Amino acid sequence: MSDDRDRLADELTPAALEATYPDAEPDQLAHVETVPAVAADTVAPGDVLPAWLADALDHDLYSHQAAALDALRDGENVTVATSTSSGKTLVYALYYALLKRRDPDARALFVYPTKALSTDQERALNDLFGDLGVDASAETYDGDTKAERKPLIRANRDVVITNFAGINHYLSNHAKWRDVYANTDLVVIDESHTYTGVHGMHVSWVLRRLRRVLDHYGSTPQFVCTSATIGNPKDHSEALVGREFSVVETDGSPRGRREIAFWLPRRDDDGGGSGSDEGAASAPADADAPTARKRAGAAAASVTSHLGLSGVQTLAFLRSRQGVEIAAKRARDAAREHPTDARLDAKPYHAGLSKRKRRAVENTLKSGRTDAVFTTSALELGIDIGGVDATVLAGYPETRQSFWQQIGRAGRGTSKALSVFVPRRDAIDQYILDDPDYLLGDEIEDAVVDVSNNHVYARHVRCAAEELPLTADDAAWFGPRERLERAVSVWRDAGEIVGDLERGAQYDGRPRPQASISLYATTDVEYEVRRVDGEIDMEPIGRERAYRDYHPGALVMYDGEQYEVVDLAEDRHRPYVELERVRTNEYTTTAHEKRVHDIEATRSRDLGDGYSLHAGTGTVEIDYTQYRRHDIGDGSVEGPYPIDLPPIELRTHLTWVELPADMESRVVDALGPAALLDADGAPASDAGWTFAGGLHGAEHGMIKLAPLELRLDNSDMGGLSTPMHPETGAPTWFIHDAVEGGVGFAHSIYDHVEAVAAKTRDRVARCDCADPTGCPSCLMSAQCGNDNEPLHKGATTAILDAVLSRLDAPERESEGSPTPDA
Amino acid sequence: MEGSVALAVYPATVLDRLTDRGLRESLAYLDPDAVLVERPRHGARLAAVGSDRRVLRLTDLPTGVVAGASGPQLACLSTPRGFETLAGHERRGDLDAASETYVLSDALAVDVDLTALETTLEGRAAYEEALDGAAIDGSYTHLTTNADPGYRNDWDGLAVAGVWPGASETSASPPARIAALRLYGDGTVASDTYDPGRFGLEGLDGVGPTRAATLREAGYATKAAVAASDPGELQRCEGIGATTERTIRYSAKARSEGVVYRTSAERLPGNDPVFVDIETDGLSPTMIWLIGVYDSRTEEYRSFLATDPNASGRAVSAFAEWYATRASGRPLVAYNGERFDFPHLHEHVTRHCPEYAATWRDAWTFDLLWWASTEGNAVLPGATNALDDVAGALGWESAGTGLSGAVVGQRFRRWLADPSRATELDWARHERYCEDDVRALAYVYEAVRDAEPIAGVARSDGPRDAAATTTTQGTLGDFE
Repeated sequence: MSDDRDRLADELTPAALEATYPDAEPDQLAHVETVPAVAADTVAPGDVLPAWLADALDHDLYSHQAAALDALRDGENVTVATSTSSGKTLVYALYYALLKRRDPDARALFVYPTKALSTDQERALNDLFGDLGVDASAETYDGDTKAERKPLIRANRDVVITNFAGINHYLSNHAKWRDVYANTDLVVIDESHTYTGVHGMHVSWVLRRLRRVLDHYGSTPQFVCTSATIGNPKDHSEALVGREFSVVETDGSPRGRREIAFWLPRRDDDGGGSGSDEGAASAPADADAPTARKRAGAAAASVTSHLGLSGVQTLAFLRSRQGVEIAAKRARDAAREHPTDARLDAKPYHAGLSKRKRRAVENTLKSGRTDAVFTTSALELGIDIGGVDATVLAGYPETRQSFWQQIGRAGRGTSKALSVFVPRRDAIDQYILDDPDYLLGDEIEDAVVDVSNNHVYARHVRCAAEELPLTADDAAWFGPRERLERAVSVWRDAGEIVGDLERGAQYDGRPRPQASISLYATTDVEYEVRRVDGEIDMEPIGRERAYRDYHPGALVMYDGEQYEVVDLAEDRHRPYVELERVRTNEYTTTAHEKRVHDIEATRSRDLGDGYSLHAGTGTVEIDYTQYRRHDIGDGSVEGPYPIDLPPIELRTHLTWVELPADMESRVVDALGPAALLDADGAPASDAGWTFAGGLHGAEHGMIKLAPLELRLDNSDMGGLSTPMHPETGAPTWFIHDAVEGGVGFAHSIYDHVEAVAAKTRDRVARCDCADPTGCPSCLMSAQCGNDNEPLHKGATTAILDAVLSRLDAPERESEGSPTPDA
Repeated sequence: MEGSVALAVYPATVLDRLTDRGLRESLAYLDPDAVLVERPRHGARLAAVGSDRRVLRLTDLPTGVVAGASGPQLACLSTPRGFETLAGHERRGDLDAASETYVLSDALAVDVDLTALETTLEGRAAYEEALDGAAIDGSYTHLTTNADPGYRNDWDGLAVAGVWPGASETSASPPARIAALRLYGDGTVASDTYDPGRFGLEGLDGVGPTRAATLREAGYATKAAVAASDPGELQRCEGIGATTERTIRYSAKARSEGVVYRTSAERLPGNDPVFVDIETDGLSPTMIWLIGVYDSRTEEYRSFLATDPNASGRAVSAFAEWYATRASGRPLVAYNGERFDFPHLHEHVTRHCPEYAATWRDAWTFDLLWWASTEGNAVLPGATNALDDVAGALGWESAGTGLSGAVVGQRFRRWLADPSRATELDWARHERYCEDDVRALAYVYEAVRDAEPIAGVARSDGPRDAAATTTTQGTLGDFE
């Protein structure tokens, strides 16, 4: 055994892993991806920095650092979109040092997405300023800062480190920040790619409010965004900040050779499908289907255990805090069964642990004194832990950039490193298993920021009116003027703004309208999540989600624990849902009736031959009617039970595809009679039912696989498919945003429809499941309101093939007349 | 200002919180002509505590005049069709057509649709149809139970004001509040809301529902009973230690005796303070148009007034010059100045007369409310910490101008938007209003300065130095 042990630690390769893994199944190592080593591309600091600063640096700059500093010195706003650990902090720290030298009063705001990162960076920045001999200091100012420190930080600190939730509040008291704002020459937005979707939309308005107040105090700072590699760094930064940006994305940092093992969980001898990873129905047992294997978390625990016992320090990423705790325990248990019979030192790490515990784990990692650490994405961003020998990923972490960020934690400098990716059963993981090239491809997910949501916009305008009177000049930040006029008028009629844009519109409502802004929701109606039998640390949820997933009787998973919803109370000022901890072998499905009406296209593409694609707005009406309880063990179903909630109406963004009127016969003819579904009592012919299964499958599949192209949260999306929609007059499938006012997700699918449709088609066609109605790894969705019926793989691929061939045909773009705010 | 009608609104959540004694105390304090509640049982609650006020129930509003014999009157409508009845009252002379009539109903609702960026007045069509059909002459303001107190909007000639705390869907989580509206003959609606916790034992510092119940069980039913307790006595109650007792006792003594107690050895700034109050066109002002100053050294009051909408810096510039040449270095005292007067003066001085910006930056500003309440240096009497409540409790006789900050701001905005004879303010009356506030502030300040420190707190004499003040002044609130 000791030979094996040494072999794995020495070689750090997938082959060594397979050879040394106890009783490895022959196909467990499904694929090996090799990322070659890259040498550093460096520039002498004296080429881009004045001598006093260049001399203080005891190393060369990477080429991207030099390029970014060059652009900044030319007065540009710069986005640095390079790999993790490529020294992005140094770029803005050095640039601030230059600004400070030029003007000793120059100050800066550095904004980080998490408090943990703020703390970590505060230390790093002050050390760096010290090493460089720059007379500057940075300090964190956020919700945890002691009241007596605050005036001192505002008065004295050169660099104020904070977050956007804080800025949203602090803007109300800008007079106290006068000295900071009047001298702000630089604003840094770190990890800017994290600001997407609803959150990104809020942050972009907070930034406009901040820029307006800075402008009021005579400051027009430069902006630096640092981002992971995303597909649209320039567009994203410009949408977020509202200024022009130059992008530096050619990474000059070095990288060691890296091998990634795609490692399948063992086949499950117990008959397969002991609960799917996503809580949806399991497909029937089928030896080749992804559902026939054990869960990814368990497999990741044993492979991590093996690595740790072989002297390979390993960091394993799981998707929930509870998953982390369970996996750490499993790994220690697995160690006892391991042939080496040694003790494994494995520690959990997540945001639920105390600061002190987290610090302790970070330190043991840095000093290499532990075998294995199991973590959530908490250790993915920035925090300095040095490097480990290997990383294990239990499931694909939703974006390519997270994937590489987690992979990138392995390796010390330019030494070699091993990573192990254990796919889950869901559609995206299976897609990547089928097509590992996706990970290395040039196309990277676009980050979606959209500022057309009026609900969010109007609330920030109300805050702005409290901060300074709004005048016509403020159309520069909140324009166009017509939109601003309407927002002011809506609040004037609501009694919360007085005056007008000529003289100055002022807020006149309750103190601190900023407090009513949640940076994660579009409306102010939020449901607090409580427990009848203990504490739960969960962000409040919006109405749409509360109705869909938290109606009384629903079983929900949160952080690896199961709860039953016992109450949804909304006849009060602070509505809430109340949960009770349960342990069942069941899950629930919720049925709804959905209508999409009053659709208005703002953009359309006529694809010819009766096919067309549209983006616009519409009203989505959802009535959650009943739910069922399913037993995972014996497959029995109880219910349906009624849900006593009124229908929800959303005016939101849509994208839809219209098909030729005779599409059903085209699809059915292509499939042949033997492939048709049995309508079995459904109000349709077999042919009609099968065709509906294809439309439904295309709708599900595109929503499930959109995250391969776009940084979006597909739980904030929904769909509807129908063989005949009363307004389009054609077979149609809709994809809609599931938040009031829209968030840009559905519209971004319109912009990326070719890629999303092609990836969906590939996944469905390649899924190993034997059932023509698909499985959770291709078509089934846990959020489906129709019990995943009907679905049909063959019809889905036929429809997607037809649409893709029309998309390839010569374009006949017919831009609709856009509405003013679209 | 010939008379007014007072309407108080008690939502069910408020009545649930108030004890009988608290309810009586609040009614005595607000002294309403009519009280609006939700349901018959809430009306019964008022009767049960011995109230003989006119009670209006939301579930069955009557139609007809309910308060005011002449001058401003309050009428109710059970449905908009009731305008016929009001027209009849008008014809018979039961309604004073020369003075404003207020019509209370639940027929109008403000509906805010942020996605469409549109606010609509629901029920407006039917309401206006009934109003037009009834052909009434007088001037009317329409009060709706479906909007917050303080809500006011002119819907193309239909003047609508709200009365119900928490009714507006977009307001940021208001806790249960009592609304007190004063309805004037010229169409002015002055509204305040009160935390029901201010009445009864819960109105004492350090007392919540639990301690209130503990105190009642121990036989302390009123503030006066708590105030009359001997030192140490309250400590016999469970959960009340020496420090809490001191807080509770002195709060009770301040409220029931109408005096100030100093709870710390902190000194007030000496050096002949200058008392100041500003009038603006709103909460994020575009113009500070009136600044009242009382100089305690010369015992002179003066005001800086700017009536020209096109000279929005005139009052501020004149004030800044006066301060720089006559009062530089002396403490400027304002009530709630930290949150309002000082930052806005700073802002406007910087904008309109930057030559005085440095003087202003170095000015010694002192917020009496902040010092007493936020920093906990003194216990003030009064049902709220609003200046008129505190001054009134200390025996200050208000000049009774019938104005409030919100109303004054509203009128000045009307003038700004369309300066004309019709919109012009009675400037002298507004100057008197501002002067009354500044003198009330000086009066409260003196009461605080002369107040006895409570037992165990040494009083040190002499003015404290400016440096110390500047530091404490910088102490921050929640979200800075």
